[in-house]
Amino acid sequence: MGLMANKGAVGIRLRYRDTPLTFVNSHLAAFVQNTAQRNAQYRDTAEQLLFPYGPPGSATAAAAARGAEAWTPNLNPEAVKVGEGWSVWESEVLVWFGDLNYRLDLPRADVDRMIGNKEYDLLLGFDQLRVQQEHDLAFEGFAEAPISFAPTFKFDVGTHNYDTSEKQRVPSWTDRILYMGLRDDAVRAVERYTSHPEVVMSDHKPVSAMLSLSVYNVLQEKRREVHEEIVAELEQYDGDELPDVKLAPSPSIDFDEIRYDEPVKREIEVVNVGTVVAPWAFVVKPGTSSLTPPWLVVTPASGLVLPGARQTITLTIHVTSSSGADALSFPMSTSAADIADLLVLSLRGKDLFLSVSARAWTPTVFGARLPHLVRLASPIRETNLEQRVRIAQVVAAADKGAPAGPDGDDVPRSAVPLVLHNLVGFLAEHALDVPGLFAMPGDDELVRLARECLDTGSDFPLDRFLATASTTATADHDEAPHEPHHAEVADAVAALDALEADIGAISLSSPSLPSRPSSPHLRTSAGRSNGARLGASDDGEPDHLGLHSLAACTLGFLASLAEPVVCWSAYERALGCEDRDEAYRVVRELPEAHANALLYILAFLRVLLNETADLEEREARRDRLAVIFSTVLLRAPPPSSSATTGSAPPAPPSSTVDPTTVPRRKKTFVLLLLRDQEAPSATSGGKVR
Amino acid sequence: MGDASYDYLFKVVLIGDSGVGKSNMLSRFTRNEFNLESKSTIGVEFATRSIQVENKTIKAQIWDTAGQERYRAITSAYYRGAVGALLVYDIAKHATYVNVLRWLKELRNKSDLRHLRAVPTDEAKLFSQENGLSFIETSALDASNVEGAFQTILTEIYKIVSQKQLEADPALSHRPGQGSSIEITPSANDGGQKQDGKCC
Repeated sequence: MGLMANKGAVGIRLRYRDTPLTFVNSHLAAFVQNTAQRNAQYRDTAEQLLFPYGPPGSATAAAAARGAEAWTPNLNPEAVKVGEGWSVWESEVLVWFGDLNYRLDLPRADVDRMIGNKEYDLLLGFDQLRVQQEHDLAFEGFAEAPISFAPTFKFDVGTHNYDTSEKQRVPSWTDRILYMGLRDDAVRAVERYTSHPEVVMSDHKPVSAMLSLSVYNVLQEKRREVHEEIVAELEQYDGDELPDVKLAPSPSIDFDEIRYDEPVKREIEVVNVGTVVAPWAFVVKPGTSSLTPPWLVVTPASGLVLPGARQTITLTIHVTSSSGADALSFPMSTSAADIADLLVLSLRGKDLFLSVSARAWTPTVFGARLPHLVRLASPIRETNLEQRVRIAQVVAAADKGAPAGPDGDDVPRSAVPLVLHNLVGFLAEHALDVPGLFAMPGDDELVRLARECLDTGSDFPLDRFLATASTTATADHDEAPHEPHHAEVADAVAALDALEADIGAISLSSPSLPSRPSSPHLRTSAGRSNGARLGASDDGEPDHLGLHSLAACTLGFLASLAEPVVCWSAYERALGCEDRDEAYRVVRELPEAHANALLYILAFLRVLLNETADLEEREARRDRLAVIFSTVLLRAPPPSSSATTGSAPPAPPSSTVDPTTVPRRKKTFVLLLLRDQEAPSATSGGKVR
Repeated sequence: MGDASYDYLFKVVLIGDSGVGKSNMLSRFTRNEFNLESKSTIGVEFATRSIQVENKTIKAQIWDTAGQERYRAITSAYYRGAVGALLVYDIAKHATYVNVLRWLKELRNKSDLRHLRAVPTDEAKLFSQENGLSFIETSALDASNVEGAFQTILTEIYKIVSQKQLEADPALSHRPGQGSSIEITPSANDGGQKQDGKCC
């Protein structure tokens, strides 16, 4: 059917002022299952699409052939060029668009429902193109503006209806506009990125974008002048002289207190105090393997300073779970808690040391490991360093399989981390009837506040988390007692308490749930007057922003864990699960802290699901919760096995799982776990096994 | 630049407490300069100078290292490949002399020359104490003896290296970096007049 002949690519390379811009339009292979083919076509195009240097025999062509052409930007210097001509990468901005044909890996019914609810962000988790990009399989490094329009394929021609033929093709965002700029500000803004659903002549809806680019304009006369100046300047320096620079204001940078996921920047200058040009670069310190510790980023990492000139280096400390938050909150020794390191800035004939340190690290449960957290008997900010070092050492010993000997695991532990218990407990008491819990975004400020409460152990301030934006102001005067759904709260409490027994049954040596000294929420039931009530937005419906923020904080906490709830070592097996028993076998084989946390979360989700009376709605909600939680409970192991993990080393990257199916498999795993054992009798909320 | 016009290339490190004058010894020896306002070295720097010993050209690559305690772990990484060390202390600061023993220990731990050692440490110590050999008081300020200190160490290294080459296969000679350490330790006499550095 001419399948080969109607696919291909065209490109235009143009120079606007002095800025080379490249536009490529591709029509890649069709059909859901042809992702690998699409990826290959993308690669071939990127490699083989070459733009002639100029008309044959022209001055530009000759100059380019000699390599004498002025500096040309290159977006991908490592790319191999297979012929003569400008590659698509030799450009300031590359825009790549067209019917890229990547599909959504979900059943039609799910996609229809999510389109109906405009849950595009959720749907994009199943977009093949995004998955390919994440796994560096195609279009890596390209950016795309947020998608706020419905999938643009496949429509019945002449209508606004998605494919009604017997093929029932899954609606997809096949038509995309991606871009890549050399400098951060090359693409200043995407003014518009939208589809045009009013067009009905095709089975696709057209997509358009308006990019605002910054271009440069070379003043040729000035350029020549500067060039001559530099040549003259360089010539005057004797090549035998060694460069000399100093670091200003001092070779030591001190940061204040560092907090989780709050980047802090400092600047330092490389001043050329010598008489020759000074090329410099940060180099790997003897005995280490990277330029900087994981929590530190230096930009630029190399440079060149003319005599008398100075260059600014920016240092950013940013501690997240992937940059060692756990090792700072739970250090193996008191000195390991220090944020301090020495960088080596190398010149010809000289190395300078730059010491970087921070006054203190604010310990947090975010980014930590579950085995550490279950041993935390009090809020982390109330613990001292020695206690946390002790926890780290005990867990490290347990990781090595050391038997609980005389000096063994003497740190008491709870079934689930206190913080998780507090979050879930609060939600169980106040948020069971909140529609769309976990599916709605929270407020950044409230999420931060919740995080702080978890670390310090303070109660969640009810006036912030139960009030809504529109009623916060009046909350103080409104003494009307909050009327919770007593029965439901009691159910939830009972269900969660019932968990204790279940968890005990699963983990042989399982300790009990943490007591909740600072969190009376769960135990309290009837009519507590708290000075605030569920607020209502303008249309009379409560917006529950505070509770959505706590839900978002819960997801954020789970996503931040240094090792996900489903351990690296269990990841591959989890993706392969096909029935409920198999999924629970994976859970049972997880390390205790991980298994308990997972069962606890599942129990709460079941309680939440039982709130939805309508069976069909409940299924839809189950599905949605599975999608959402699958992304935080399961994460692919990091590529190198050097991750700070205590469990078995991560699965080798030679995964047998097709990356395009990963989101669906993750969701399936959680869905299987959420499924009731005997389908019809779905009333016993906390029943886990 | 890039002269291959030397017979031997010896890497020598300058070590010792912060502030004893290592950087000025280096600048005096390689550039004949002295800087009264010299600041603490925070890093590692090298300079070269060639000298003649027994009709051979020896190119000395002298590495000046930060003396501050906090940089100790990293500076010791630069000892690798060195065939000699000048351990410097300040005759006006007794503590820097006391620390010489610590530096010696550091050298022994970090240098990769142990297996090439020609002279046992204790013997060398005793020897130098009894004979005052290889102990030189210098002043980088008035340039006295700086030249002599470097001449002494480079000559000693040359002797050991050429001796080794004779013992082994002479055909394998002329490989820079091959060599042995010599211990040059101070005498008990610590009461000089010169205000700057002492080199031991």
